[in-house]
Amino acid sequence: MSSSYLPLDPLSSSNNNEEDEYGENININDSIIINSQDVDGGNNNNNSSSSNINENTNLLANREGGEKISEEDLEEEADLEDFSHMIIAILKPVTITMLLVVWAVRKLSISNNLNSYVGITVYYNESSNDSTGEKIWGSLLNGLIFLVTILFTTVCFVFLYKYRCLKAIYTWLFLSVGVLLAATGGYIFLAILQANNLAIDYITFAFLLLNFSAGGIIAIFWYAPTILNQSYLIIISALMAISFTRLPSWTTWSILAIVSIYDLFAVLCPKGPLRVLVETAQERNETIPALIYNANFDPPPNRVQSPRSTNKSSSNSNNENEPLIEGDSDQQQDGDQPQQSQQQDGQEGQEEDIEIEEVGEQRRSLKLGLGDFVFYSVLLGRAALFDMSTVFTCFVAIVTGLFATLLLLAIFRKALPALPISIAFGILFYFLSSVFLYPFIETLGVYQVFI
Amino acid sequence: MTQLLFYGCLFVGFSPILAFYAMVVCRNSQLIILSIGGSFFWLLSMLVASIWWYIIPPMRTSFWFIIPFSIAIQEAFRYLFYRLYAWGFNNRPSLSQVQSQLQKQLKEKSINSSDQSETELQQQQQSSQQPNHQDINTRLETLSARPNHTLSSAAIGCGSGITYAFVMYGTIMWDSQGPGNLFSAACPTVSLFMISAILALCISLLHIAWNVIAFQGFRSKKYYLVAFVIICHYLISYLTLLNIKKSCEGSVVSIGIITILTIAFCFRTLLNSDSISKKVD
Repeated sequence: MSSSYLPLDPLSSSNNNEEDEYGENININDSIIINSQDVDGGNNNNNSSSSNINENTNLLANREGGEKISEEDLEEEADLEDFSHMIIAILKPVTITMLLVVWAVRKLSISNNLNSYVGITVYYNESSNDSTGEKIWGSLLNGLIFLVTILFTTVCFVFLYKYRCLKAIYTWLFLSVGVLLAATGGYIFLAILQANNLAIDYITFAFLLLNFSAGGIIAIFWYAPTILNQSYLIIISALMAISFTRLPSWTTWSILAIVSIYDLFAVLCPKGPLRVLVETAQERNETIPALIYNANFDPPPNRVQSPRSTNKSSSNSNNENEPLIEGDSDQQQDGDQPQQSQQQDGQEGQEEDIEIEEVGEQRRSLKLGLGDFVFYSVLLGRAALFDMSTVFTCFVAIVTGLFATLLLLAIFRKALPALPISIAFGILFYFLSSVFLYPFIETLGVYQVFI
Repeated sequence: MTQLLFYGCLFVGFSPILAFYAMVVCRNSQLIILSIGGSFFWLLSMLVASIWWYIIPPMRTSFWFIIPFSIAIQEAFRYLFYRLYAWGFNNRPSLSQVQSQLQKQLKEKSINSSDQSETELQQQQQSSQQPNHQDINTRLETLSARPNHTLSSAAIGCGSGITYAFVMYGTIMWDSQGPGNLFSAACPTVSLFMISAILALCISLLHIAWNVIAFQGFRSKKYYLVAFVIICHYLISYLTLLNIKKSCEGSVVSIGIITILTIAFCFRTLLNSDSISKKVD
């Protein structure tokens, strides 16, 4: 599968546009949201957590098809165990991104750099003098503007993809990643320096930024050690999330709510642009160009796969091998430069099934899209601006929502959006804890009464 | 608060429970999931308790009333989570059961090596809901089994303990940064945060013990264990009331003693129960 892809693309992934919040293009969000909403028929395209999970569940579905019932039990058991490994593998990068964002937001807000930048994109600039009704109305308007921009960019992207303007897509992606890393990264770097009262000269600053952003483009779109690739993806999500927390507070909440509702509709309704995108990609048997995070996790050693490989039809094994292959080829590419190895791996798909089992040390990789990272971190960043207790509360809520989504996914076995449940829990817990829990804890804490 | 005192309080308050988490819960991904579940349910109970506190204004400063309701709500949610856990996990084999089943299969397999008996084995195993495969892969199956009930309940307790420590103690810790220090009314020489740190340590460890004991009680229907947990919880909370005016040594020392006694009791009930010592054939 990856062999049919652009040679530039080592991890069979490419960035989806990131644009900076400075300008009018909020493409980043769009594309990253695309990633989080991709409905994957499941064969090879992993673009978002929902599609990845869907991909895994389709894996499960594919495994079950045409096999003895006895093997089903094995797969059920194996999948449940894999399930918990999968969940933890998803949790790690999400937690790291959240921690980064919370730390940066706290640092920057203390020195009050945070609200000095108000997005040019917002129509309504909040000020505390306005009445509540006006604030709600204004923030809803801002949210709708955001939504329309996302929709517009998604549609553009789908058109570009449909008519095979891959060069345009890649140019867009490269420029977005570069500009995001350089501009937003530079801005935040500067703000952190100011917050800590450090000084750095412009020449060094420019040098560092140039290397940082060029290195980022190379690490994401070309060959690089996995750790570097993952770190850059996490940094990109964190930078985006930090810039979103600079939006005024009511606007942030309304954006979160509107985007989660949009996610729900986009994934579950049959006529959305995302469905078109995914179906087109499936027809052509290509991976969707998207921002993908590769989470490697160790399967239990000596996974029994030989009975399955002998019993499977070739199409099933193709589907099943896909993520495994991509995982293996990812590992191999850390060492081997030429792309032929990747293509070879793709073709040797059938045989590798058994190899994986024997080698025992092989790691499987799980691919996630960055949209969910960004929005969870935005919620946490906004919670961090209130107090640390809300951070912890919202963290637990988001993670529980994620688990619930994964559970539903395992039950329903079709693509589900990853945002709505977590964001709903997060928003609910934020408001409940900031209004009710925080005064409660403060009162108890001062009197040292522990309940 | 000086940096030294800040980090000291931080480590005193959080390190035992975090060490337990890192050494026990982080090893197994199912335990992590369970601990986050426990944490969620404890948070829910606290939110309900805080809403109840908020909407009844006279209750806001009279702690004699806050405590019973909050504890009752916490225990109710603990029971709720136990129901959820039992519903999800009771039908799945535990590690020891899986291992014993595997040994049985190995024995049977070595006796009969024909295909026909394998299908019989498969049928038997289907009916007993055990996975079947050509190579009996012990490791795979043992990993797919649920962790034993003790570990699960300890993980759930650990989750709620960590959340407890972070929410009740971490909140005031973050507010303590900056110059100045706050001293408790009862002991003017010790910083309030240090006393709260010691109390948070004890009570978060107690959460683990309470959860293990309570789940045992729910599971084996020995309700005196559940009663023990509830009484212990009430006792500890009311002892912390001493912190307000009377004396802080009274609360800290007695809570420390009760913690040690409860953990000892927990071990005793574990050893007497069927979770650990029973041999599965």
